[in-house]
Amino acid sequence: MTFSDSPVLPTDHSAIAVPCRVLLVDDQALIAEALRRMLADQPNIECHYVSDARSALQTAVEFKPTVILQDLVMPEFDGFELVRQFRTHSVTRQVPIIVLSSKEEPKLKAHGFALGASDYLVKWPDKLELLARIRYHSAAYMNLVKLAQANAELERLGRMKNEFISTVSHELRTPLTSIRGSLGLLTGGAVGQFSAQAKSLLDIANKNCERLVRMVNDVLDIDKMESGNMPFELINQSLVRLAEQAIQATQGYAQQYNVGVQLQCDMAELADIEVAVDRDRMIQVLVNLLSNAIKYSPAGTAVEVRIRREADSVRLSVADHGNGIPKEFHDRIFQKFGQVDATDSRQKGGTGLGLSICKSIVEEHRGSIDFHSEVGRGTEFYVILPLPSDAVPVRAQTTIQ
Amino acid sequence: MAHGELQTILYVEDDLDIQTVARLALEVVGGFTVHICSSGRAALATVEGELQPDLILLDVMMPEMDGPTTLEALRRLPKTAATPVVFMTAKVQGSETAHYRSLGAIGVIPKPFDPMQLAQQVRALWEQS
Repeated sequence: MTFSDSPVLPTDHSAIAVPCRVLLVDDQALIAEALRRMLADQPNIECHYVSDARSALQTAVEFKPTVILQDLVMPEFDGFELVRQFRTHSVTRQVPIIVLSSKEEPKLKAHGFALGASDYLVKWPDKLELLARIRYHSAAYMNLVKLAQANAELERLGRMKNEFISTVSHELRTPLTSIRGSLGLLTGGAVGQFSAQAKSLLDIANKNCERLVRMVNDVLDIDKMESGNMPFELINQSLVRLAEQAIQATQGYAQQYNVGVQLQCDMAELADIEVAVDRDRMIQVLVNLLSNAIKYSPAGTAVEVRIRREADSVRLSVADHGNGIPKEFHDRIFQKFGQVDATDSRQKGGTGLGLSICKSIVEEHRGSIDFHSEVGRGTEFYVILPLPSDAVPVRAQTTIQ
Repeated sequence: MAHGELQTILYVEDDLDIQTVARLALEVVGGFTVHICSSGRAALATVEGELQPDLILLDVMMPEMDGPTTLEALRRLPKTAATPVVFMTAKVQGSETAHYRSLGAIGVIPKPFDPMQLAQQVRALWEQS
């Protein structure tokens, strides 16, 4: 095998192309001089020498090395301590450190690596090998720096995207206020009656305006959730009461679809069970699941909301007797705009973001959300929320008995 | 707080279209008497004159004097020092009322509002305060 076939080391050519800034720390002038000679006149290698280990960190901060070559045993200063210092400073935290030692001792090596050394060479290293290691570590470090820069740039773009979404959503709300307001007053009969044709057109405009408002709200919710700006106020409360409020909030909607909603739970079992949830956000989840179940239910059927206690959690489910979700769509049901059928969803007035928001909210409560569905028989979505830890042990035992 | 009847509302909003819509929603649907000002400064001048509103509806984002600044100035006038104030804003959704309450508002109504529900929402906030 030739040297250039090595899978680990960069090829000679590419390694030489990377500028190396070597900080050499050694308190013995003779050794330092010998090492400097090894590095002298090498293309793209700049060497800076510090004899006093106590000023090494400060020099490194100013010199900004791509690799540090440091002695381990120095009479005035513990080499391991120096490695530790380099690793705690933001400028040198990631700079590769090659430790030079006179001892071929596995324990010393292991300790050096544990403190953050990147390499360990026993004196005297072969010149070729030393150069290869310096270039290898410098190249790896420069790649790390480039990655960090790319990462920072991506983060910046991500923040810009979030700000953009947030600004656009807010800006959309002002014209939407006038449109929704006008259409709402017209269709609500606040300013007189219209011909049947005019009324049906206004109803279409109003219905779609309402959908647009929901979409703008949902986009903002997603944006806030993804940027971690959604405030959550977790307060212990009864899930049954929240479910009742959500059912009440969707009552009009259920009547519109001629669908009943039944709450099934063992009140004795759930009487003093409270879960730490953000009231408004959890109602948002339940209303979303209920609205979905209602709009996909055949008229005359009922949606069943069940709450039951499990060992260390509470399980809340919303089941419908609709057409079910075809298997091929199961994987993307919680994805943004992952509806089974886009046309269907437009007709049903969905935004395609509801379940994705539900999942984020539930996960923010350290809970989980999932579903079972059988084509032709119906779908059950269920949310599992952990019980507060102080409520678990005693009650969990009684459940098992 | 002891209330009389909620009758007169001062509405401060710089968007003319939203003014029109909200006026109809509050007057026709809600039966209130609505006085509209297009800026915080105009609102201050109005309450320094004859008008004694029962409640003030304040848009948050307005040029020159925004809603919170207007609220602060209204609080310094004896006539409106204790008048209930409700913010209306496109900047929040549903439940984020805590910040606006800490500024001294009794509530916040997010835009876009439901025009058929607006009067009822305002009345509910008034009754709770």
